[in-house]
Amino acid sequence: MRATTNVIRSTIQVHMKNTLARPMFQIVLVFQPFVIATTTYMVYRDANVDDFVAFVVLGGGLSGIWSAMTFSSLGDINRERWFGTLNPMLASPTSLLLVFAAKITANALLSLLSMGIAIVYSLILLGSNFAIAHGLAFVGALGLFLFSTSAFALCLSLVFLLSRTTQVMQNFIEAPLLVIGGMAFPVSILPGWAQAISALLPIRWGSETLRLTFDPAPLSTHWWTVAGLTLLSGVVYLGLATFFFRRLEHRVRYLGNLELA
Amino acid sequence: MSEPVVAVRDLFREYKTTVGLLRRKPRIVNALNGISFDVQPGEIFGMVGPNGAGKTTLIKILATLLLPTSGTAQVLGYDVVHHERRIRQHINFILGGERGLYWRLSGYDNLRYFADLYRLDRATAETRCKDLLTLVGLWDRHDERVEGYSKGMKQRLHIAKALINEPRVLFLDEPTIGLDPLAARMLRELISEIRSRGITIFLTSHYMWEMEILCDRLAVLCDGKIITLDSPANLKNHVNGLEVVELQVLGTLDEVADRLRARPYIDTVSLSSSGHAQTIRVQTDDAQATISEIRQSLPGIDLSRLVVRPPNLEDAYIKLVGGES
Ligand SMILES: Nc1ncnc2c1ncn2[C@@H]1O[C@H](COP(=O)(O)OP(=O)(O)O)[C@@H](O)[C@H]1O
Ligand SMILES: [Mg+2]
Repeated sequence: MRATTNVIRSTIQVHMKNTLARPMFQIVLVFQPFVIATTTYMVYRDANVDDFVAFVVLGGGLSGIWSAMTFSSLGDINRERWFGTLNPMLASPTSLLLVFAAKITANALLSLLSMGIAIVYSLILLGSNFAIAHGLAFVGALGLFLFSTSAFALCLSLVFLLSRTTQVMQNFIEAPLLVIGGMAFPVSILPGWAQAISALLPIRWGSETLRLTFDPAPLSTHWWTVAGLTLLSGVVYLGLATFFFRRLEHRVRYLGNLELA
Repeated sequence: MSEPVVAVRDLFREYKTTVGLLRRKPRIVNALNGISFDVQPGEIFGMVGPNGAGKTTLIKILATLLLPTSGTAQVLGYDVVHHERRIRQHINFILGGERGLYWRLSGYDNLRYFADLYRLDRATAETRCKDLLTLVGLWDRHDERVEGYSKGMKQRLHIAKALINEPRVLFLDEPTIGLDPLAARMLRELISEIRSRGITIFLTSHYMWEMEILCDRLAVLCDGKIITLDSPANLKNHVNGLEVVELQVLGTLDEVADRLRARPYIDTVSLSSSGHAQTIRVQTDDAQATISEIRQSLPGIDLSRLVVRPPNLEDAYIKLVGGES
């Protein structure tokens, strides 16, 4: 147990040291919230949408979190592959699943910076219009969002562990999911098939849970339902990751593709 | 005799790849074609062979990173396919090249992280990191980023990393490749030092004279098969009674090589190039006849550049793999 918390802590430390030095990560973390919050602000300003404030804050903040998470699961694996550190990790008594989980946690913590920036920036942009109606619920919802997105990212990372052609997939996944994940605009305006895909994504439930905390009306059972679904999706993805990991290790040893050829 | 540390029986490994960009055809590469051998406790067991012979594949299988296609391999009595966790506690490895370290972290932080991955408690981790960095001569520079280390320093850090779990068996894949002579010598001394601690070492290398110094026994691997397995001294018997005529010129020696190959007194001819220069090495039981043949083929050649010498282990190796080097 002691050793496990030790590995998690040092993985987070190592990961942060490695990550913070990368310009791309800084851009994603810091500038993306600005860009998305501003765009959302322009789009919704004259449109008289009810949860305008929520979309500006969350559009900026959550897309920053989402990008950091997909970056973490996909980009980090490529980097470790490039560094040649996956093989020694595989051979150590620590499970790769735990290492990745710790790395994703590190990214989740770093990505809170995006949310912070989005909130501060929205305050400046929106002035007195800015209000989070249910502060405590917002914090709780943010926690749920981070948990479920992390679990999802963990699943993705396992897929990417198996394939060396992850760069393409990374680009393929990051932006489209941003659109159908309900982070920058309501899922209800999407076509039916996209809503169906969206329903499988923790971010879709997580962002709705968060958005509802901006509504001044008291929290309804609907809120508790989406919050529950966020949690559930996180648990399901975590379960999937753990379940598939055992087979994956065998598969990885069969393929022998943990390093660049 | 005691239990072997590594026991390999009839081991095969194939890779499935595709060739061609547009019309991709599947292709199967047989990297290991049925090999068997044992490694005894405490010995340095060497494996040499041309590029693509299967050395790295074998090391990866023994280090539990890769599964065999068929056959069995046991390390410390445990099967590599099913008991990898048991094995991993007691082994470690270096896979050639500079990869495998975090370049943005210091040498110490790298080592310390792997200590955590190996679940050492804090006190043990700290003393062991310090001891190992001292052993490999990096303690002075332990808090510098790895990206500033020379190749030799990185390789020594790899050694320290590979010792972090106090392994009983160490697999080293071409540990001296790309090092300057001084750095390579330091590494060899380190390998001898590690061996004197009772650790069994499985080593691959391109450099025969290095293997001659280090190894107790040496296997020659070619196209995924072991051609010979013996002590370096016995391997040299393969070239007993022969002499080596060696000549380096600017330009090509292909024609000379072809002519010589047809002569009965010639045993093995090998060519190697570096830059614009080509070197021919002829193993023969008649050095005089060889020299006059070369003279006829290359009139006006500066004979002072011609060397006649007794064969060494490298020549034995060249003979065994049929002239490739
Ligand atoms: N991941 C891989 N995919 C396909 N072929 C591979 C792979 N790794 C090695 N090979 C092939 O297997 C053979 C043996 O390679 P390797 O074990 O690296 O040899 P060595 O280390 O002796 O140079 C070579 O033909 C090589 O091209
Ligand atoms: Mg190799």
